[in-house]
Amino acid sequence: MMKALLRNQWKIFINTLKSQPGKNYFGYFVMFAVFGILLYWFSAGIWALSDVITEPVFAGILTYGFLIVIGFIILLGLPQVFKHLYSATDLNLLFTMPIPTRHIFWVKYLQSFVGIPLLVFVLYIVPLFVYGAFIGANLLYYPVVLIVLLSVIVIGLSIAYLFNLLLVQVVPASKVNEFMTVMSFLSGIFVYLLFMMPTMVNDRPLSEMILAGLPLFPEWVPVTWASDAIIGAVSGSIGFLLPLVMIVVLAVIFFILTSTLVERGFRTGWVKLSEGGGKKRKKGAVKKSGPKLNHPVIAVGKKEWYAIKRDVREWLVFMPLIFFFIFGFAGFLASGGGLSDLRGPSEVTWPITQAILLFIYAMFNGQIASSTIAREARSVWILHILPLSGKDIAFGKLWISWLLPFVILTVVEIVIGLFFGWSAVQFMAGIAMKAVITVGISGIGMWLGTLGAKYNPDNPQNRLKFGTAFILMIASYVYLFFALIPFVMLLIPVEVMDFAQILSQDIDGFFGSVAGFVYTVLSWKAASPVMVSIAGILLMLIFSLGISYLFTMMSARKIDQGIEIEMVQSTKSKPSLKNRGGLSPTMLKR
Amino acid sequence: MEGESIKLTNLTKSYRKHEAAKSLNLEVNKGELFGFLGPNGAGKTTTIKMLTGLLEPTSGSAEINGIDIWQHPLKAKEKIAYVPDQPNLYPKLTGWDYLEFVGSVFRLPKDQFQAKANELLQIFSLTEQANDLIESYSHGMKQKIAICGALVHEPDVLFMDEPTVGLDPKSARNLKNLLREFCDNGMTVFLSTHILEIAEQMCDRVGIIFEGDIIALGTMDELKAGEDAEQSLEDIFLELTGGEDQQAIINEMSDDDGDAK
Repeated sequence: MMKALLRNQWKIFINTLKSQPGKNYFGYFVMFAVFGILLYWFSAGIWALSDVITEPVFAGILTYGFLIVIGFIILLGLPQVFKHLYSATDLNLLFTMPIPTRHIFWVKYLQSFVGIPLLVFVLYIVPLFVYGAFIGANLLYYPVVLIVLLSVIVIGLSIAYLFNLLLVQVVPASKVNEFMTVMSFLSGIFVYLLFMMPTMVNDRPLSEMILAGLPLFPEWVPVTWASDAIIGAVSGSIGFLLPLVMIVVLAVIFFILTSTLVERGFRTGWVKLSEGGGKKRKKGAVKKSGPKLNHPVIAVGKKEWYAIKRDVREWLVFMPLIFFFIFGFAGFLASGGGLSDLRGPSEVTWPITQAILLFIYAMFNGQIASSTIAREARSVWILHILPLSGKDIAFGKLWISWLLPFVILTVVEIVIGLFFGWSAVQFMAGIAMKAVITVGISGIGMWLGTLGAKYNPDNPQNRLKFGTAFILMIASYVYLFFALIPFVMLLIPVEVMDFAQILSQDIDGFFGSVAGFVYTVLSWKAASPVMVSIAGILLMLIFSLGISYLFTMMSARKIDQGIEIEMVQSTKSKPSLKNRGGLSPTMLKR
Repeated sequence: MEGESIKLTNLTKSYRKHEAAKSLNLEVNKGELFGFLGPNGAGKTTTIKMLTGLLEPTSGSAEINGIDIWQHPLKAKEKIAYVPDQPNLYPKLTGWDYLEFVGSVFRLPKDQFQAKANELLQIFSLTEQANDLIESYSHGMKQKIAICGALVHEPDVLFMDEPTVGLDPKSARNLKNLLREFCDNGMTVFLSTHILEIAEQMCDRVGIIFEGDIIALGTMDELKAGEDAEQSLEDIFLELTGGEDQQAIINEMSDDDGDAK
């Protein structure tokens, strides 16, 4: 049975290759070329550094390197494993055929090797062999490296499988869509802790430990066995045998453990997920509080809010924020810093925090606003058919995509401000300034969303074409730069005026002009501070709200003219032998 | 029935050399229940999409209550509702949220909305599921909530693409009764269907489209008048759209099988 399944997979692979559009082959070629060059540089680096890598240092690198292998396979391999186990389209057919579940599982397991594990394998084996050749390692070194690396990969992959197989039994079927998000989040934390382990178990920083040739972990930790086996094999000593056997046995145990969960975790898990059983059925009839009808602009925003609120995946956009704040903070505390070290005068902490928050706003606002367009996806016909103007739709989407990050980041700012002990004026000025400035970013984001909307059913959060996303990132920061000029001028004290004058006289070109501009504004500010402050605030309001209005109206116009949402098919290859590239557009046309 | 609710004048849709709709001319009167029939790929959905502002015609015009939907889309859309054959609704809205959204867009008075929404939910047996997310609905339930959304604002003209597909017999019967009642009260319904029995039982007039052309148009009696009076709509349909040839082949094959035995 296994043979038939493997032969079938092989045919699918060959046919997929044959049916690729020409440009895909070029893409693969470029990808291989880039990968090859990277590998060459990596190996050349190893060759150049080999003589300074002592055995204890090599042991440290190997230990941490294997930890990274496991971490990467868990983190990046998880979605792949999920796809193979639960969302593969052939499972519907395979489970109706007289094939033992275990066989289907093993084929899926083998399939999982192609992808991240294979990439990791090549990335490790080549430099390790190059290193072996440089130091003239014993012949035993090469097969040991191969076996150890494969064992470590099996351990990592098995953990990824165990994660899937176990979690599918815990997560209710109604949370199918959110399943991957929960898993990615948990695995992210798990891998973060894994990478932080050497820092946590030792008092010294990781780099220092490796360079000093000190062991990162105690002897009983499996990655130490892997490292010990390879170090032993370098010189051909028999000492490699025990750690090698131990790491291989551990890999076998992991594999057996994974396969014992096949029946419960795989087949019944798939059935459970396929049923999607009774999603979020809240009991009770129609709301008793009466209908809540709103202005169409509010109604459009409200329906966006429901879509965001009720889908955990939508909140993924804020993941970097969590990583940025929580892990950054945890890392700071873990490295021996104290809370009191963070405190400083509010004149310093306030502008730094504003800059950081604005940076974050620039990252989120545009992205959230742009994704409101492609979120329509297959439901786009509803907006077509309703008597809504492009303006109603654009402003409806604008207010919610601006408000959401504003509320979240204002809460964060209040917490930070209370911690730093800012004054009420600082609180209000910061919040008001960001409220005004960020609405412009949302406007720009929405307009770009109307130009480059994309919907991928396999990755519903990826809602912007690559090029457009890139332009959005640049446009957000360029806008921020100009929008902040009046605000920055309000902040710069007049005492800097003389310095700016000297600079403007001493330096030519762009920077000289900037210094000249600063000097002129500061001299006005010195002459009539109130008027300049009012003018600065007005200028900021006009610029930000003007940009926002302009881009929202441009979005509205585009919506009226017709928006094309690129619908990415779930398969990247041609469905048959002729195709125009796997995309079918959906028009939002009024 | 008086006045035109829907008017197609030389309405054409071309895709390069292929004409999906060939200069269609048609008038549907107020209060009329019009059945639009045709085999797969005949141009039914293309026509409905042009009438509802979803697909821009290559040439010609489509008017709703005298308003050109491509010249004054918002005004025309205030008068219409559309239920597609595959209702892709907002999965993260509950049925009630969706109706509220439609009610908000049409700016319905709260009391009127509540009464109408509750009535429709009851007719389509959705009251108990109104607070469930649409993503948890079956295909038939999605179809029903889409119909509720279309009817909640009491449109002047209702377009339906294969409305009974996916509905259980009770809901299909309710829908048929409801459509008849609405039409008697002045609403115009333009529906496309493959189920000829529905067209025969319910529709005031029937149009048959084939390869982008309207090849037959009239009441059931008018259609039968030109043919054998004993013929059913199915017979007329098959005769006009070439299905008879296939039927003859099938009959011949059956005869051959019989002879062989």
